[in-house]
Amino acid sequence: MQGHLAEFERAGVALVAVSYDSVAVLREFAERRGITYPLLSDEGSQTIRALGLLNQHADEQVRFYGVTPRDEHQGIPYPGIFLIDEDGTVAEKQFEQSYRHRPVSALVLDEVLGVAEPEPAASVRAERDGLQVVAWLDAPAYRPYQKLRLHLAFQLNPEVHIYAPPTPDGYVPLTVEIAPLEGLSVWPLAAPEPRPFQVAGLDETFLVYENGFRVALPFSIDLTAGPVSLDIRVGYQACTATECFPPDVLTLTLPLESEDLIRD
Amino acid sequence: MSTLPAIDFDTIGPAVGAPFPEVQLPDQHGRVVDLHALRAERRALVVFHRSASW
Repeated sequence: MQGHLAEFERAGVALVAVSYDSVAVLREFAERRGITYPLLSDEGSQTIRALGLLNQHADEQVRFYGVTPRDEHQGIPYPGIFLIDEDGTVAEKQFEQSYRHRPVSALVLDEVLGVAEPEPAASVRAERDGLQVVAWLDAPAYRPYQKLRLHLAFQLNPEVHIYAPPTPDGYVPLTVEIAPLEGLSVWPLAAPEPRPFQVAGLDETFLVYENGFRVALPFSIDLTAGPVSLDIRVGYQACTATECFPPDVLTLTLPLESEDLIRD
Repeated sequence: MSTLPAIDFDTIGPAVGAPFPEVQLPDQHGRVVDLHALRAERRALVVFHRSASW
């Protein structure tokens, strides 16, 4: 979050974090990581409880990961964020299902604040059938359980469209997959609303993407595995008003460095 | 294989459109921060997270 503080400031948004840690723990954490925004100490979790945010599934979630619940697992909030409007009301809230997952701040900026994300630092490109794809990641490195997004920017030639799900039998919709990796969790693809498309002589209505559009695939890697390589498969079928190319798969590869957890 | 419990977050915590309650807590310097005074009529992003130490 600290890395994006200037963007939050420009967007006119105050940033505050709340945890059950003592002031001493937060002071040490802030000094070590150079954090200047307020880290609030809810030692004893009174505020977390009063807000109804106490994670009542903590034991169950901890056991799911094969860990024996410990005292430190008690009193944690459900991990998430509230965006409060100028008038003090809740404009948006987003929570993660598991205490282990934390949203990366670029995702927060983009999804919650609607702040344009910076240009990709490193990207890869593929091109075929009147279709160009550029892929990049929110960050050059992952931390275990931190949500990152794979972004894909598509540019289609003017006469070309590709299909969005659901498709009639015999047609292939756009799919984005990351090849299995140990510890990989993937969330549903975020894609724009497709456009209805009628083909002369056919009763079926298709949903299509045309021109330029972007999609994002949230994912996390839930272990410390060192640097990894993301093999990305983009499945699609490109058509014009008069003909269709066979279904095809574009493959792209993005390197992803590894950062350690805050504490191992 | 076991699965994580499904949690309906619409029903957990302050609802969208509702006033966010008063929050007064000490920050990392030990100074008590009033959330709504701090944001001073600006928007605020409040992040709830598990411990900074694990």
